[in-house]
Amino acid sequence: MTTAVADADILAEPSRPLPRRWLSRRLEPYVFVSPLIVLIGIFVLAPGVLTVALMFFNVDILAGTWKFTGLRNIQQAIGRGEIANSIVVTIEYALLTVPPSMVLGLLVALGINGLRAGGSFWRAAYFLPVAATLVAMSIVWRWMFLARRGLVDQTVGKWMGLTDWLNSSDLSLPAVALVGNWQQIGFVAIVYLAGLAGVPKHLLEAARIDGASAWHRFWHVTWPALGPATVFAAVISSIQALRIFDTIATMTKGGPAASSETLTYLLWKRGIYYFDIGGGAVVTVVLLAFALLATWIQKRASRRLERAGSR
Amino acid sequence: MTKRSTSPFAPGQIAVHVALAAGAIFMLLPFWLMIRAALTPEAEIFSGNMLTLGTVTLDNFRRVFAEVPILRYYFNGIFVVVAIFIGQVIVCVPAAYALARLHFSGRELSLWIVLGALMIPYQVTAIPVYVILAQFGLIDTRSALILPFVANAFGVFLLRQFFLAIPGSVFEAARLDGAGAFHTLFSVVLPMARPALVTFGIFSFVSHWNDYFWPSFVLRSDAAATVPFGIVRFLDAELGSDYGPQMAAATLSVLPLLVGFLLAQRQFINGIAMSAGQVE
Amino acid sequence: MMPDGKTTAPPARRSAPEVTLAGLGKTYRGAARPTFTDLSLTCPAGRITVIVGPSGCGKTTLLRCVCGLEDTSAGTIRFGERDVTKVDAERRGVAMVFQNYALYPDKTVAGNIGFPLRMARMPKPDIERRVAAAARLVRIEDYLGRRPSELSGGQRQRVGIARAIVRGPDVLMMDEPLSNLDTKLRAEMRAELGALQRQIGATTIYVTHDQTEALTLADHLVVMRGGVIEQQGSPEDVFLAPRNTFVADFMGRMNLIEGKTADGRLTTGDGAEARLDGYPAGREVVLGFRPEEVALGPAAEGGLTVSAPIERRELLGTEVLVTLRLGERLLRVRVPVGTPLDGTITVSVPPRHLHFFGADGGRIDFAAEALPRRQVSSR
Repeated sequence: MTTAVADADILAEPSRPLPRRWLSRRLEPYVFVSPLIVLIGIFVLAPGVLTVALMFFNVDILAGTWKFTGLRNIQQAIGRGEIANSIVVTIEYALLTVPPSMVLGLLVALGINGLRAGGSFWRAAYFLPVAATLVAMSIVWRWMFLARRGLVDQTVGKWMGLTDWLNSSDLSLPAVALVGNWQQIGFVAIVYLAGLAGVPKHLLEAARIDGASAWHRFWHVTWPALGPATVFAAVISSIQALRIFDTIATMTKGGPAASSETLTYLLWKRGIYYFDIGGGAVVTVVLLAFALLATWIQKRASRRLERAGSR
Repeated sequence: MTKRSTSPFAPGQIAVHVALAAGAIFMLLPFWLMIRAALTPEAEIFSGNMLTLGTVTLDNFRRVFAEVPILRYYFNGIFVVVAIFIGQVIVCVPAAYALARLHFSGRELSLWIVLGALMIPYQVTAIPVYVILAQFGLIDTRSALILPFVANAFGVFLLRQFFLAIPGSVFEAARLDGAGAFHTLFSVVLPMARPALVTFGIFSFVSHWNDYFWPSFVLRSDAAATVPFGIVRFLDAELGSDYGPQMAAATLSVLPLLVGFLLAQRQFINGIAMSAGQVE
Repeated sequence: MMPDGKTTAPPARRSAPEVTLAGLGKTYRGAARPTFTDLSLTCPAGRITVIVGPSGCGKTTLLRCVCGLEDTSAGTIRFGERDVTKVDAERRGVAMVFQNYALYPDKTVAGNIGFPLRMARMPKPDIERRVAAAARLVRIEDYLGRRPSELSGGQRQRVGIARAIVRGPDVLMMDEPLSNLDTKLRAEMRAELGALQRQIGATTIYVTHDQTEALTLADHLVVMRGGVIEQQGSPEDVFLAPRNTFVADFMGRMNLIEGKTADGRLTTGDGAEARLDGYPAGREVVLGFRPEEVALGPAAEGGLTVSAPIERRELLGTEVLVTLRLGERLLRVRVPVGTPLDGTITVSVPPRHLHFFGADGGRIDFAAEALPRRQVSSR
């Protein structure tokens, strides 16, 4: 007890007053938030406004001149037909990558999820392409698709007669899409594996005791529980399709004859290669419309899922 | 109890392994071919058995190091990635903390701005941001690769969720304990945010190390080139059809991330899968 | 029930201030109704004031206003002579113990306890001395190197308390500090907290929803409901003479019977009857008594006698908690183990244990003669 009293005495000794604060409590939040808001303003909000403005100007970056041209950029973009072509190519690319990578990714995830041992090894193997630098791997794929001597022509080409993919206006987009799938499957699988971890185990057990077949268990228990993961993977893959650039730039340069010229590649070609800022701005607006559409679809789909109670 | 076997060697299990292995060949084949070609003399690249190593040589790598300033690309890449991440921590952690735990007028508006920025892929802002950077004379500099990515709405969003999950009383305790804004940040918030920052850090490192799109917008020369931009530029200019050195260069670009991935698989998968959250 | 030594508590060790709240009001922004208005309260210097009430009664908000984590909408807060209403929380000289401990997860125990001192830029040797002293006071000195995640709930709260007292605060706030602990630990920590407070002598405001904690720890007891102070005073006064039916029910779970008195009877609305001798007839009253203050058999000299069928029995140990059905009303009484309990039981409550409330729920002095001042009954 004596020590307790002594300890209490120590604490009763006068303590130091707090040092003066040099930033008032009212200002603190603003000091914390303003760098972010300013930077977002410069690099996201202002560009948004600027894009709309750029559509109506002919800008020469080097000379620093802006010339108002009215609707000419838009008329030219439509007149050249490249935007319509790129929209079609982008949608084709999305159709060639999203459904296959979703199905294959789901199968891989189901396979890995059903394993009792070695799951993490396969997970790593399938995820490797996601982690790899896509541009470097595109160089490898470009070499594999090389006419005559490349691996693809040596094998698939001999068996099926489909050769010189990258120089064929029918096969260049599928070739790029193949690489897209190669990269995307592992990602989808990871999303589905996370979803599968959330499937209620007791429901599966109950279904098994009730004698439901493996297919029935999947269709009535697992698949509904994967709803959010499916929406998620679909949206990510679609946005990935909208953004695809690296493979196209290294493998086909949009060709031949613009047959693999997606919107993002066109954006670069107009804005940087041809130095046509106004034309690039027009492509940007189309791209933005697609991005907002994807977000909107996702919002709707998840709301529908929520209402269905599968979340 | 069900009668199902629980052995990892049950026939069903073996079948799954076989199926996964077949798929994995497709996934891993490019890596193998890349390494094989990189280690094979030019003359033998298209001949011989694709699945085995013939004569092993390091000539291809020697040529890359001799002709391609790959060490500069590495340095630029590391510099850019580290600078982006440091900037993101400095800008995003305080903002996320304020948006999660401080009350001030303008908070709602700031949150809307962040959520709005979250919905816009950076490809969409590429042209106007390019114009803005050009106005400041930043084209073809490392700053052009760094500045646009410092304010990362996704990072703010993620960190804010993380701070919201921490009981508010911890921050109140810090306040009563006399911690001012910066002490609260450095002594309390930052150490707590470490797990979220590791995940976000890997996401940020990987996506910017691999990025080819943005460098091809704002870079013109080798000076500030990161690995993807530098390699592609150089291959097309110097190594047109020398496939051995090309594959060696590709190997060298992929290598750092692959090593990182194999060392810290779990964090890597979490970090990259996090890009998933970008539209959530 | 009351910890011994309370009445002989030594005078406050330090010049801890009296905490005075005058006309305090708080309305959250966007809220339709104020959390409380015009609330006045004096917390005696160097003593424990316990604010007790059901959840949502505004007690935690009140505590947060006093320590400055919330702004007040009206009124003043004084620590002694000092008006702290507009003073920043960290400059009021208050410390707080939180229900969920609110420890810094990445700091060691010593780092947690010493954090307020580091913020005050105290020299390192002084910090170490104080941390050691505070740790000894809460008996956590063997765990200084651990992290919160390596401690049990009770140990974590000890760290929380040590961190609160380490700076020698004038005013100490405790927001349900024991609510996250299991029952046994709670009883131990309760006793320790009382002793600790007397050692350090800070004016303490303690918020809880637990009536046992409130009665055991309080020097001054405040019962709140819906943002209003229903009653305040010494715990004895509150327990023995609840000012209204809410306090009667909340502090000690009184049985309450609404009814009309007639000659020697109390008739409830649903027609059930009990004998009630020695009170005026023809009045609407609410009669209250505690389960542990009944005797078996009919009343000998006045008081209440209830004969009713047994609805339920629960063995508590040496006593049985019996639920009786009187009309549509269930009454709880405690009787010794071994009492024959089949069918119907007759119990009585002497006049000194009967409480009467008016139709509005307020306490009334119903008996013609003044009730003698009673002693604490032993349970």
